[in-house]
Amino acid sequence: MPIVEVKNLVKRYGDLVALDHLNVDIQAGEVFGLLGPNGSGKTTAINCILQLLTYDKGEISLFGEPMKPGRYDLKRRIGVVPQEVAVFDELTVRENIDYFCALYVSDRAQRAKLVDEAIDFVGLNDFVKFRPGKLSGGLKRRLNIACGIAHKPELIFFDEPTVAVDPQSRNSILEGILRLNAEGATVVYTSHYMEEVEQICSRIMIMDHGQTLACGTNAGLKAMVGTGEKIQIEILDLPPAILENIRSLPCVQRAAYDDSMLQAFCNNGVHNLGSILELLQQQGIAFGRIYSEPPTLNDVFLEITGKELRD
Amino acid sequence: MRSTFIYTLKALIRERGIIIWVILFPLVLSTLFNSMFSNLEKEAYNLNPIPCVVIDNGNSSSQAFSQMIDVLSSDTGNNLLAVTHVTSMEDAQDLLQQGSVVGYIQLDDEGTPSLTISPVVNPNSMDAVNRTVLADVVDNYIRSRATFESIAASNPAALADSSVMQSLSQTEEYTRQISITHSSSAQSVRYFYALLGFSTLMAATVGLQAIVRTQPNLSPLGARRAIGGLSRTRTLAATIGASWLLSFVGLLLGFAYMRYALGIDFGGRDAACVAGIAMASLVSTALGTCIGAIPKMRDGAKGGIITGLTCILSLFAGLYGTPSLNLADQVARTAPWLSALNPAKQISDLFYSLYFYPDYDPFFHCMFGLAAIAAILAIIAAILMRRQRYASL
Repeated sequence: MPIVEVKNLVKRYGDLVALDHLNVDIQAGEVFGLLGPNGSGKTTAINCILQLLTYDKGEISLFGEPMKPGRYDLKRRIGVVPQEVAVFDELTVRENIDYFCALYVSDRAQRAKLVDEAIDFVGLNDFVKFRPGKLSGGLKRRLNIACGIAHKPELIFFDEPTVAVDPQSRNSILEGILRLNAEGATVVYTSHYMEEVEQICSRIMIMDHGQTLACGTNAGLKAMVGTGEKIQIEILDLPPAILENIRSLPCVQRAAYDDSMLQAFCNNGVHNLGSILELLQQQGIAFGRIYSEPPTLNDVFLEITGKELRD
Repeated sequence: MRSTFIYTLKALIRERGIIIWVILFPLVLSTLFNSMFSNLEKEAYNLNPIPCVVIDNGNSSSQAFSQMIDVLSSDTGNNLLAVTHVTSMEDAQDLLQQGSVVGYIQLDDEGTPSLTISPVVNPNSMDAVNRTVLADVVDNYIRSRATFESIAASNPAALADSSVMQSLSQTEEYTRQISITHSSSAQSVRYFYALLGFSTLMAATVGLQAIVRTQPNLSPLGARRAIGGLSRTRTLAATIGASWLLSFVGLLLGFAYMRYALGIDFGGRDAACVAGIAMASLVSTALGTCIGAIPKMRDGAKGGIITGLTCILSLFAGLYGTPSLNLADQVARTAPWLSALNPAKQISDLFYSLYFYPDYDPFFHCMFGLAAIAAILAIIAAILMRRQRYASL
């Protein structure tokens, strides 16, 4: 039984179709990634699932039950970490976490324990008496997370939790999400950072213009595209004729030379690099550093939409 | 729900703007009022000697009149008149035109006094009272003189009877002074009551701030709370309850400060005053909730609406001095329904009714009016907040 099941969800803002027959199916124990550029409909989808937004068509079920605005029994099993830091500026770190935990847990002793654990989890022990205004951006994000997870929900929505966060805090947040998942929580993670999604998600849905472009595991999505490997070779001077020879190699889909760097996008295969280097040596072309990268989700997005994910 | 109530209260108490405008501002303003109005009643009812002119024309028949004038103007500290003696009509008229005297008295050949008073009356001075007193002095003299002359003509022997003379010189009072009001009327207390009306409207900021944080379409925090495990009804109940309590405590502090620190007279009906403050807090919270629930408007604009409403409605409650008080009274006379819709005026009237009237009917009338205002505002707020889901955030 899927924990989250969305069928044919349609959401319109006037003439703009924000969600176009969206289908989502998330199983228990997954870290499910919603990947797409800004404005692709990720947050709208989450807000519809959580019944904050009305929608024009579709069915939403959580934990096998139809989700409605008044289903507080279902809401009590969910944790949400919104995109914006949404806490009380006048309450301390501990008071904020306690307040949000109290929306789900009424027993004070149990809550005190959960709050302590949440503070430990996000590493805010030294800041419990601080108000949010005194915290750095990264620490505020951690507080935002602690407020969403303190009650130990079964299903947690993280909506772009690493926006405007330094790399160190970002890694800490991503590690924390994996720990929550390891402790049994199902995670829905939205981001427009493909590296993050690749790093932590067991299954990924790529969205654009409110539509599902592709859905599958990281490896499965990459296998869907023709590009198997991207090879970059540093060459001081590459005559155009040699570049044409490289392009004509059977394993090369396309190649470009710019700023002393040759970029060749190759088919799936094991001898791509060898073939190119052999050609360069035959032509007497000196080369420097060599990079070989597997295809990225950006390549997947590029191949499906014809544009970069970051556009 | 208990945690929501407590943390909402904590968050509101720690908001600097709320502490300044809801708690400190009324205390500061009432202190200023007190220093401005402390001598108002004393000055308003303090009769200074009435400046007047007596024209001495050497008429021997005016001896009795001169004696009376001497008695009334002899410098005893509480003398009724301050008399300037002149010898010509021109001098008297000059003094009258200069405005330094209220009127002048001249005697005809038979010694009958006549009073000429200034045609110009300053409405903010004691001129009108002084003119009445001066006229009364002259009229009394003329009446008494006529009585003596009549007795002398009809029964001269009676003038030798000391008991008759004594009864003629006494003034019999055939009326009894009773108070039909609960307290003696003091104008300045109305400013303090109007200030409580002003404070009530300013306290709507509490409800505004609280409600903005519960609504998904008004703040990210509201959106987050709306998807939490506590029902919307309970969240709103706890939030509105906390707002009401803070408004109530703020107004109660203001009342206690005026009543006990500044000694403002509230008619000695403290329990009813507290009940009135509780009702005023309800209006305040309902107003804040109503304005706070307006969608697609910035918090600053909503705060501006409350400040603007407070200032305008306080004008019609008589907060800004005598002209404002006169305007409030005029509106209450000519368009009573407009006054009934003004919560600042209703709150001011509520405290005045406790101070002034001997029974509680006017107080309950104000309480009912305020309850109706609170109910109307609450219904509007409920309509604005009825949605559980939104087309957009």
